[in-house]
Amino acid sequence: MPTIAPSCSGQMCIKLNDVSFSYNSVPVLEHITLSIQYGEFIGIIGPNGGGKSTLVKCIVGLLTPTEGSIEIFGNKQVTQSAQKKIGYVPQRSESQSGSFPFTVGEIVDMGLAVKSSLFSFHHHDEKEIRKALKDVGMETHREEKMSNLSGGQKQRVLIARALVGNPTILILDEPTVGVDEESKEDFFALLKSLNTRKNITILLISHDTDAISKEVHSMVSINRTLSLIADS
Amino acid sequence: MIEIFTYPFMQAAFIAGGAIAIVSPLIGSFLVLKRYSLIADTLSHVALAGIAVSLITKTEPLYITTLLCIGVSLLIEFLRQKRGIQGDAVLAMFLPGGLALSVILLSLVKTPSAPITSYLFGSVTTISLTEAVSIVFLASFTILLIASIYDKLVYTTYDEESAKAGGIQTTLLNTHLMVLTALTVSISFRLVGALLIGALMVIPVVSSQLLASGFRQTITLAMIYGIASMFLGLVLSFFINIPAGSTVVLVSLVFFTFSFLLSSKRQIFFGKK
Repeated sequence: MPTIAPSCSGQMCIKLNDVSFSYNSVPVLEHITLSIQYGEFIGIIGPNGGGKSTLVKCIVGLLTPTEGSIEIFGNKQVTQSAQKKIGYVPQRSESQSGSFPFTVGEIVDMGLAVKSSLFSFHHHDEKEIRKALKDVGMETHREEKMSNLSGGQKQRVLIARALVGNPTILILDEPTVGVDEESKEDFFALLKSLNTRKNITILLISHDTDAISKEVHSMVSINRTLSLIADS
Repeated sequence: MIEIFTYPFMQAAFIAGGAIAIVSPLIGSFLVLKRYSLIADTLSHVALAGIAVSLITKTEPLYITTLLCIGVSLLIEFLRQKRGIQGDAVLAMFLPGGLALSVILLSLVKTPSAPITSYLFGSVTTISLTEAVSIVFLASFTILLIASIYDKLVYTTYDEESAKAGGIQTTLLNTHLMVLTALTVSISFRLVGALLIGALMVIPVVSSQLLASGFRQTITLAMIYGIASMFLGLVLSFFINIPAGSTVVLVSLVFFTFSFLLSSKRQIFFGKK
């Protein structure tokens, strides 16, 4: 049973205690124990079907572990208030919208929805939207249609949407799929800069082992069980 | 021209039509984005069964169809979300199911108070002023509720997984959308017709989608198309003496053609998508 606690000192923001998950009795994750501290940048690699996405879905509360527990910000479970402090960029996030005309500003504005309660009129905060777009280098694209952007630009916008709620943790699931090599490097550098400048804890799932190894503090591999690959 | 507004039934039609023309594209925008456009048609077939029940029991069709549509919309959402049956398959099940039930129930109606075709394709003469006020009230309620959950509903409809991960109650919001769709269908069938209401929820949205450059702009333009189609359709049906619901739908298709041509021209000359 691997127990991994990356070496940075400080308080734990995510703690997985012996987490297992099964889909219809088929084990996907087994006995995962992992502690992540505030301000860390963790890379998660592993083969397809190894359980990487399942793991982050458990952390953000989309799935419930069949065994074990997840502590976030000291809470014994993934609460709604904890979810509001996590920015999540899933795989192929905007694929279902097709060519529906959304502007970049409207996409980022969605991230503010997590701040308000269910039946409360929307508080549009233009300043926050512009700040989030500036953080990802997309401030000049505010009025552009999302469908007109390149793959790399779209991913930056989705990060801006995750950032606009001022998250403590940013979780990205294969964000560079369909992004060209040059944009990938810029993209990973952007994540590194967000981690350093804003002290955001980042969990990044990626296949680009070489590229992310330059940026992350620690790298873990998931293939049903977890193993530590590198720890700076 | 002004004489059209002196008839009480036309006054009622314009009041109800105005409310329907605003609320239908509003709900329709979310349904089109969700790729769930056929829900309106499915519920309209269920509404037809509700009309048959009201004719048999001699009760007010608006209330029976509203209750039945809401019940079925909740059942559809339950089967989709909790039982994992694909959305289009659930709709394909309930659409003919609603029609089959309504045909059987309508065969039991001996002497209908109004011709069955008026329920299928709409009629301006069947709406009273009191009913028009009820429609305005229910439409206002729907708009207010959508306004209060707008940002959360947009996020959920666009990217349900991210919205859920952010702590938004997506299941509750989807259920709200289904119930409000059911309400919109049931308040619209008398004027537009049970078999045509789906068109009024979808065509203005698709038309505006071709020209708009944002979701808010799409909704606004869709409402303008909806109102223009409704009022032009009612006026034409009055003067040419043709069915109102069908005229409204055909006018909205004319607006779609206009949008299509304009967007094609824009793409050719300015390269804009």
